[in-house]
Order: sequence, then structure tokens, then C-alpha cells
Amino acid sequence: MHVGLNLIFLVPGETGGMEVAARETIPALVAAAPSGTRFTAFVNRDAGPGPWDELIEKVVVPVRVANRLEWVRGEQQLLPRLAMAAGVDLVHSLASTAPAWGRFTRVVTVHDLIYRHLPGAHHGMRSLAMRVLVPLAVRRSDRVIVDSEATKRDLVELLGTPAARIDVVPLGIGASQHADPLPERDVRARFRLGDRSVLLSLSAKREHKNLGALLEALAALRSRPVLILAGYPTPHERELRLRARALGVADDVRWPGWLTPPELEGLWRLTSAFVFPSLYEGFGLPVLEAMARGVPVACSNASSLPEVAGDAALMFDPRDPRSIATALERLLLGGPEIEALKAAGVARAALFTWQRTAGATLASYGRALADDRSAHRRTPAA
Amino acid sequence: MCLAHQRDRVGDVLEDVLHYDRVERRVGKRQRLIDIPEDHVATRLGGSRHRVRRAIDAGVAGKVLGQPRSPATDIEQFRVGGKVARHVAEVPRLRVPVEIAHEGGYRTICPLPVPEHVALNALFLAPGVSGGPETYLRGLAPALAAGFPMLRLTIVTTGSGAAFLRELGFSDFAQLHALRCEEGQRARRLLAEQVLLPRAARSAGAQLIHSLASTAPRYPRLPAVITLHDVTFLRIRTFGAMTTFGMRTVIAAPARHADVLLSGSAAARDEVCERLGLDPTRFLVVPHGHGRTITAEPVPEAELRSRYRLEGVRVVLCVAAKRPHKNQAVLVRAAAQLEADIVVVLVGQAEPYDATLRTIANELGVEDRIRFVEPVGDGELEGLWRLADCFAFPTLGEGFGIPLLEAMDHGLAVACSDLPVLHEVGGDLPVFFDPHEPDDAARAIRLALSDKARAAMGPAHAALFTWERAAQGTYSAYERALVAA
Repeated sequence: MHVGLNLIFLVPGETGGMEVAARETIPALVAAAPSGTRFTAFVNRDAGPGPWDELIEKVVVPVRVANRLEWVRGEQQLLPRLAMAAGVDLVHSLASTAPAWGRFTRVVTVHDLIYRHLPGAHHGMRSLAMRVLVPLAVRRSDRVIVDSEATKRDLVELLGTPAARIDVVPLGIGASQHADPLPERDVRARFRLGDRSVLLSLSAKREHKNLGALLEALAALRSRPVLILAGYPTPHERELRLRARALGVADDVRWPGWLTPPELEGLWRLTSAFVFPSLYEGFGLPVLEAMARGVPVACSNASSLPEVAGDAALMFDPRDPRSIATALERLLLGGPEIEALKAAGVARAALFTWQRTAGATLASYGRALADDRSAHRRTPAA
Repeated sequence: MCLAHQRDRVGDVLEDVLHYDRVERRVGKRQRLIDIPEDHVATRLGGSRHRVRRAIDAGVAGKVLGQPRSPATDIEQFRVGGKVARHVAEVPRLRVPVEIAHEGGYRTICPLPVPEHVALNALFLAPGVSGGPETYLRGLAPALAAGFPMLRLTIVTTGSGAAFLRELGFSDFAQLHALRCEEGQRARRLLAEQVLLPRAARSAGAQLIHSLASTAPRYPRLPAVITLHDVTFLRIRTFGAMTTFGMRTVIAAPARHADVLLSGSAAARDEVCERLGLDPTRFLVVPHGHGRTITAEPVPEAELRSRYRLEGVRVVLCVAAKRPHKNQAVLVRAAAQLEADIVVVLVGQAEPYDATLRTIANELGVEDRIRFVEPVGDGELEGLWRLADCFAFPTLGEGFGIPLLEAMDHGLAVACSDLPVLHEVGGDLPVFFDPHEPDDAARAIRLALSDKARAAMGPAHAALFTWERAAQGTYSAYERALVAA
């Protein structure tokens, strides 16, 4: 089997979660694939270094991804030709969009349908492109891989994709390389934490991450910890800051923006709890990141989070600040129940490995090849 | 070259292989490639790459690991059975190790004595009722036939077993030999297994007898391989005192004299060794594959739901014979604590324990939350697997636990007993519970019902266990038995 990996979306440092998933999945795929499997990566001109350089063959699609139109042309027009020239049997597109034609079996991974749920998440051209390209990719692919049952449900309900054509393949977590943590004293000084207990939340400041409700919950707590809202700033952050001021919790919130890995690791060490009030997730890796480090988690019971968190987190209704506050109080209080939760979290996180992701992805390839009737047509009669 | 010498040579190499780190991998249907550390290989003798290539072409030597770096000098010499083979054509007859110099070191390509004809003892077979061993036979035999086309199989079984296997198409790849006895006719079965089976195997021309379900002839008069699944019946009372004593006898004595013992898991091996006083080093642990290749069309969901009154409920499925050690009682008790829309479906042969389960259900007033389903056809079982929401396996003792993998393969999250063997087979994927605690079982079932991530990880885990691999492991047990005998 010769597999082409469509990595044309890669822009160093811009594609976030999808890039992490690609970086971690590729080595695991290569390791898990039966002998005789060949992998070829299709990348754009700007892609930085990665496993696609060392482990597998690489074909550069001559486009710059920063230009959206070029990117679409690269994926829809150039990639299929290059893939056919390379003789691949199957093209797996790892980031929600995929070529719509070509004499090869097609598999696409759709991480989320966020553009349908929250129209504000992407803007202008990007939003339009997603609205057209994702449904096209899903319709024209032989199999669709999603990270969670929740996303599968979305595909079935919103795009009318037959459930039998979708494979749920949970992501892993990259516990392999943690940075050296910054010493606790430095972390406390840098973020002006004093000796207060700390509550951490990691998410982009977007509306669907529901940080407003978290601020309200914080205001309702009797003894307030310091809440650290890490994640890159967006226009929405200004609104949140005003909200915090109005609620009288401005002094209890820190907005550190983008964190360096040692800072983040230092914060993980000293935080009492992790909270994730998001209204919509395709998967929810931060929850597992916290669990892997033995940090107790409270998270929303929306979309994919219940399936990722399992029994190892306190769940709350994200639309109800009181429900969030109750969960936080229980976490901060500690005790045997919370210790058990931490242990359950560590075990839970250990379930999600990239090896498993790779194994399930390969199985999906197998089904795609079996399903793809055009593949039989292509094969000359034996 | 005399046979004794041949065996010594093979024995020596095996000795090396068993005692030193080595890389070993099968390179063809009949050959394995074994790397032995350089210092264990003594001499270099003349030969040529061309000759080795011809040996490979003759189907003897298999492929050389990796790509030769310099084609001209890479494989300089080789020897066969301690002396230079003048004609590579000798090699197939000799069936002895071939050493070749390769990439600066030596590699030994070691065709072991080749198992060519094996008699499988399937006298346990009572179609549809014999549970685990039946699945084992139905998985292993076709995989052996497919993986080793040169291996002849003679399956010695009961009358009804032979008819059943013929229906399944086993006669396409194996000779079916029916003895006139049925499971349940104790004296006849004993006679058949102890006396008629060895005779049948010899007259069919088999080289060894592989007994698939723990019991075996005491005097096989051929090299013997026995798969010992488990001895749970010694720990948990399953049979009457006489039967238990008898079972112990027909299992322990043959096992002590067998050439190679097989076990599906290290945990089962350790328990068997402890209970029967056997030496663990005589065992090969060969994990089973998962499930059967489904040929039957699954019965449609709607039909099954109406047949078993399962409309609009979540289904907890348990597939296991109703025997005390399968411990379905804990599920019945747990059902009382589960939400009203959850129904436990117990699929499996009804034995006396079935009545116990019904009594418990009545006492707790949960009859309407339990469905008792008798053994069903493949199509119906497949349909039940597909409509279930999770799988529960409260067993107290298991040799392997194939149903666990079948469930995972069907994308079901699993709640199962916290037993070493199930950890070995299921890894960290099942939700484990204490099989004596209904509360804990209810907790685990609730989690399994909601845990879609575990469910999604199941198929890839189950795919690690294939009958193809089981057949390879079993075949190497045959080789070992022929060497040991």
C-alpha cells in the first residue's frame, strides 16, 4: 500500500492543534504500518521541518499556503496530479479539506465542524472556503475520520454523511517531551500569584470557549483563587477584561497571553485545578494534558468533552455559572474524592496514545480501500 | 545424513536460540530466519552468493534479512549441516540449518523439522455449545491451513462435530475424521480420546497430535501438543466431585507427558502450572485471535429488538455460558442499581446455573431488566453484537477471554472483572470492576455505556490479536514438539 499524506495545510506555527496531530501521528503510523507500506508526504513550499523530512518521502506542492487561493488550487488541482504521478493508492488529508478528485482512494480527517456551530470562528474568505471545502471533502472521500463521537454526530446531522462511512479515531497525547518547568518561585513572581492557590485554564479567547461564564463562576466563589487565562489574545479578550472588571474579579485574573513551554510546565506544577468551560470542541486535548500531569479537572459536559474526560473529571453545565462554581469549589477543597479523581485522570490520559491513533487510522485506510469501488475498477482484472 | 544427527544439529541451534538474545522472524511458509550472535557461530566454509540465492529460490533458505550491502562479497560462504553442501539441491532433503556470512557477521537460516501432518483433537466439540474451545478451533484451524498450505490437517472429532465442520466448509482444507461418540457420553468419549484418537491419528499418518481443549490422550504414541486453556473448574466448583476428579486426571497426566504445552495467556499458564504442578518453561504462550470470520448475515436490529423486547433501551450484552464461574449473578444484581432504560442481555448456553440467575432476578424484582437468550445462530449473535451499547464480562476465571476482543472489535466499550488475564488481553482499555461487588459492576457498566472514546479505541486493540499470528505461534509449537520428541 502506498499512502499519500496531504499536509498542504502546514504553516509553521499557525495551524496549532492540527499540526501537533500530524507531527505525532506520522511517526506512529510509520511504526505501526505493515511492512511494504510506503508513505509520501505532500507539503507546501513554506512547511517547516518535521517528521515528513526524515521518516518518509516528501513531495513539495509548489504553492504558498499563505495565499488562500493558491492553497485551494494546490490542494484541488496540483496535489491530485502529483499524487497520481507518485502512484499512491490512497490520499489521507489530515486537516478537514481534501482534494475532490483523483484516481486514488480518499480519506479525510475532519477535526471539527466549528464553522457550522459558531459562524464567527473564522472570517471572510476563510469562513467561505470552509463552508464549501469541508462538505466537499467529506462528500468526495471514501472514508471520514473524526476525533470524537460528538463530531461524528455533527457530520451525520449537519452534513448528512452516512454514519457507516465515518470512523472515530481519538487523538493521543504527546506526553513524550515535557519542557523543564520554571521554578515555582519564579512562576509565582512572574504572574504575581503571591501565595494564593491557582486555577488554570488554557484556551484561545474565543466566544465558544465560554470564558465569560467562567469569570461569573469565579465571582461566585467565596474564597477566590487566582485564575490564569492563558492562550493567545484575540479581539474577544477586551470584552472579557471589561466583564471581569464589572464582576469585581479583575484582581483575581491573570492574562498572560502566549506562554513559553517552561512557564506552562511550571504552572502545571503549581496549579490546584484545571478548568475548561468550552461550549464546543472537536476533541479537547488540554483536558488530557492536565490529567496526564495529575491535575484535577473540571470541564464542561458539552460536545466531545464527556467522551474524552470519561469518569476522570468533574463535569458542569457550561451555560450555568453556578454549576461551574460548585465544581470549582469541590476541586479546590480537595480531599480523598479529589485525590481519586487525580489518579483516575492519570489512568485516563494513559489511554490516549498516538500508537492507538495510528492503529485505528490504518484500519480506516483498510476499510477505505475495501469500500472504494472505483479502486476495483482501477485494478486491472487479474 | 542420519536422522539422529539431523536432530542433534537442530537441537543445538534451538538451544542457542532459546538461550541467547536473538532476532527471529519467519521469512516464508516453512522457514524462519534466526540471527544468532556472532560468537556462537563457529566456522566459515566455502560457498557463494549464487548458491545461497539458489537455495533461496529452491524455497529452502528464505530471504536474507535486509538488503545486501555489497552484492559480490556479501554472502561469501555457507554450510549446511556442518559440511559444505556441494549441491544446493541437497538442502531440502537435509532440512538442517544453513549458515551464511552476511554483513560482516553470520546468520543462520534454520529450517526446522517441518510439520507436515497434524491431527487436531476436537473431541470436545458439541456444536454451538462448547463455547471457547469451539471458537478456538474455528479460528485456528482455517488460519493454520491458510498460513501453511503444506501442512495437512486431520481433525478428529465427534459425529455431530464432523457434520457441523463439514457444513462450515472445513472439509475443503482438512480431513474430517468422526469417532462415534458425543460430548456428554462420558465413557465413550473417554474411550475415543484415550484409545481411538491415537490410533486414528497414526493411521492417518499424522506426525503429532494437537489437543485443542485441555483434555488429551495419556498415551498418544506420537509427539503431543496440548492447549491448556484454564483450570478454573478446580478453583470454582463447576462440575460434580467425580467429574472434577476425572477432569483433573485426564488433564494433568497427559499434560505432564506432553512435548509442548500451549496457553493463551501468561496468567492462565501460571495458574495452570500452580494448580497442576507443571513447569512453566514447557509452555509456549500463544495469544488467540479475536472472533470468527462472520459469514452469516446479521439479523436486522429492528427484528432483534422486537424479538427480545429491547425497544428504546440501552443494551448491556454478556456472551458466556451460564456457569457459576462466568458469574452472571453480579450483573443481575447490578441491574437493580442501573437506570431503568438499561437492559442486561445474557446470551449463552443455559446450564443449571441459569435457574439460579432467574431466582436472583425474581428476588430482586428485576426480571424485566434481564433477558435470557439461549445460544443463537451466528447471524443473530452478530446482530446482538451490533445493537449492544456495551459489553459486560463478569467472569471469575478465563484462559484468554476471546469475547472481550470480539466486543472491542465490534466497537463496544467493555466492563470486565479485574483479573490478571483480562488485563493481559484487554490492556488498559476495559473498565475493570470487582466481580464480587454489584455496586462496582454498576459503576463500571455506567462508565462503559458512556465512554465513547474507549469504544472507539477497541477495534485497533482487537486487531493486534489475529488468528494468523496464533497460527504462526502454534506452528512453531509443532516444530518444537517434533524436535523435543
